[in-house]
Amino acid sequence: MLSQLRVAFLRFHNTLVRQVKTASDPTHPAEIFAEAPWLTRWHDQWITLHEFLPETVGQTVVDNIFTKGRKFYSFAVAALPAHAEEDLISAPAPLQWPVKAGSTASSGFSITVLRQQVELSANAELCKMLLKDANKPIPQNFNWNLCPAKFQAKGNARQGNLTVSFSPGINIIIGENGTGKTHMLKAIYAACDVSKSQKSLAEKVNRVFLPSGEQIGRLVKRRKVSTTGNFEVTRQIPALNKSLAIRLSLSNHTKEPAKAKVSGAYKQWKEYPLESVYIQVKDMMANAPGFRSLYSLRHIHFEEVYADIIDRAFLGSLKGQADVDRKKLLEILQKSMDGKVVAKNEEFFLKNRQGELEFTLLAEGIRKLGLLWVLIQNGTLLNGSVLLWDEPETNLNLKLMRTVVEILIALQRTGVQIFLTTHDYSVLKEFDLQITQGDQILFHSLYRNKSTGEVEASSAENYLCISPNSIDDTNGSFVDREIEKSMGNLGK
Amino acid sequence: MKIDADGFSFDFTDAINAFVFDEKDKLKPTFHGLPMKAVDIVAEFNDAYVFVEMKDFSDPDSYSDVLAGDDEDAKTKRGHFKWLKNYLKYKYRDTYIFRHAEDKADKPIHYICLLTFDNALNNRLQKSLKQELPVGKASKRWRQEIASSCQVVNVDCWSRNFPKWPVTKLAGTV
Repeated sequence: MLSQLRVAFLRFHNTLVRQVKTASDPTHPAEIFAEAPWLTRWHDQWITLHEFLPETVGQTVVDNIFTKGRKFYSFAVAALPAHAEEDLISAPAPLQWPVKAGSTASSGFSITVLRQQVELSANAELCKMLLKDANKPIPQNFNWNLCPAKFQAKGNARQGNLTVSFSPGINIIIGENGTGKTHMLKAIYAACDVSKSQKSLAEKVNRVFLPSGEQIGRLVKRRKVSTTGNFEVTRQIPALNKSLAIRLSLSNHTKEPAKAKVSGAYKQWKEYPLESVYIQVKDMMANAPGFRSLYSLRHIHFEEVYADIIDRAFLGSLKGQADVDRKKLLEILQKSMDGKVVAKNEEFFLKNRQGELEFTLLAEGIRKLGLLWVLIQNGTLLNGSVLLWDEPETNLNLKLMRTVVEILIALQRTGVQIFLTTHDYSVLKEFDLQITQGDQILFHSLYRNKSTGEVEASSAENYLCISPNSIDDTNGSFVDREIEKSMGNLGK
Repeated sequence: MKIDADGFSFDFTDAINAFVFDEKDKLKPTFHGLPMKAVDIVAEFNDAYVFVEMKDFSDPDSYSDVLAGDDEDAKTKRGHFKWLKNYLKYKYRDTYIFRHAEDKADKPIHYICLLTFDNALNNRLQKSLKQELPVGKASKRWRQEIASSCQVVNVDCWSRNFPKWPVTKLAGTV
């Protein structure tokens, strides 16, 4: 039965790869890599939650566990050694079996499905890309400064370090796929989040990046020899008038977060908690019902940013009247999405004169506005907090993007530090058109040095000064090809 | 063959002939002198003519309608964009008529607009210009083309694609 289910998921995944390729016409295999496994995992989780568990243990037991918490079970699988995968599949515990318990133990239905696709079609270029990206490491060493007023730059260029100094306002990060934009965002988010949570930096990084088998050493750039890596995030504490830095160091042999070294002013870092929000590419608002319970009860294979954003969205409203700035932002969003957001039984609805419309029936672009509305309304995005948003352009039309940029610029004016990654010209251009004197914005371009292959960064205050500009370069290549096609060798 | 015009300096190294088409100096043999619009430069090569028009805008964003919404600001921008497109279009057409009357439209003609926009805006403008010049044999009844191609480029793009025609901005220009 297990092997049949495994084959079924393998086929399902491969069908999704084809569908994703046809439906959305992705320009890069990495997009398929992101979409198809995500959909596969999601269906896997759905079946587990809504069919497998009710069928095997009964709906009453499931409801009881999800509402009152577990009583007799423990997460033994989370600590299973790497070779436990086969044991788990051959002798599954009733509740452990289909729910993913960390990527190593769960590989029967997620990672292995992907690898099977690679193995079955080893000659396909697409599959080579899938395999390559599945193992994509983060840069060996990287230091990020959250803002120039707050952060010091450190690094050693000879070791291929990457150092970026950020604006205290808006930071827009561009670069081709594989240059580490999202990794940078996640590392900053992990550093911000540990200032408020009980988790160690290593633990948070591991949950946010979710390397295979949760072996944190896999985050270090892999070479033939033993390799070490580190990243450092620095922030300035205005109250102390000084900078604080925390650093995570590990090697490619580090298997557990507990073995990674966290250094720097870690204690002081936690004395000054920093509110932060990470909005990932995929919307989670529509998938909120049951997800938090599932995530807290089971060791499911989702990067922690998915659970974190739902937690932030469910925070209660701030007491009292919203201040003028917040009220104005909420009104702009309400006008654009034609309503307000309400939550009932872990489900979000857009409420307006016509009634309440569940988020699953809303366009994804509207859901994004809804999420912003909730985060502003519940006070998560206030002066001093940090917003990190991976590719906000996804599923947003140009008109909505205009509203989003308007909101982000206004949030920056209220003291929110913002980090965005983008591949979209309209995002860059909207910011370029809407910012006014006094707004704090920096454009950061990540690119690979052509001779060393290492990722480097350049920053610019002005849109026209971004160099290299991977987005405009793509448009430029269209012009070049048009000239080549219509003018041949004239002028060459 | 070096030509200075409208804030730019060109060197058409492989041209048979190149001159300022919009010539205002009555003493020069290439004086235009007619109430017609005119491109800045005409260059002749063995197998083609190239018409060049330059515009160095201090505020390129004024011409961006790529992101236009539905408010007054966007309407204004669309107005700017339309004005620029028509400006470039009618310059070409009048120049073509002038050259046709000179019996100098006997080779394929390429129109290059050198603007200070980014590549995305140039793409947008190029699409509209190609449709409206129009480029190619747009009518089944046409025996010949009015324009063989139309390119809208910035200085970087020009330098990358036309190494035999180096261009520099003249000192003192923005």
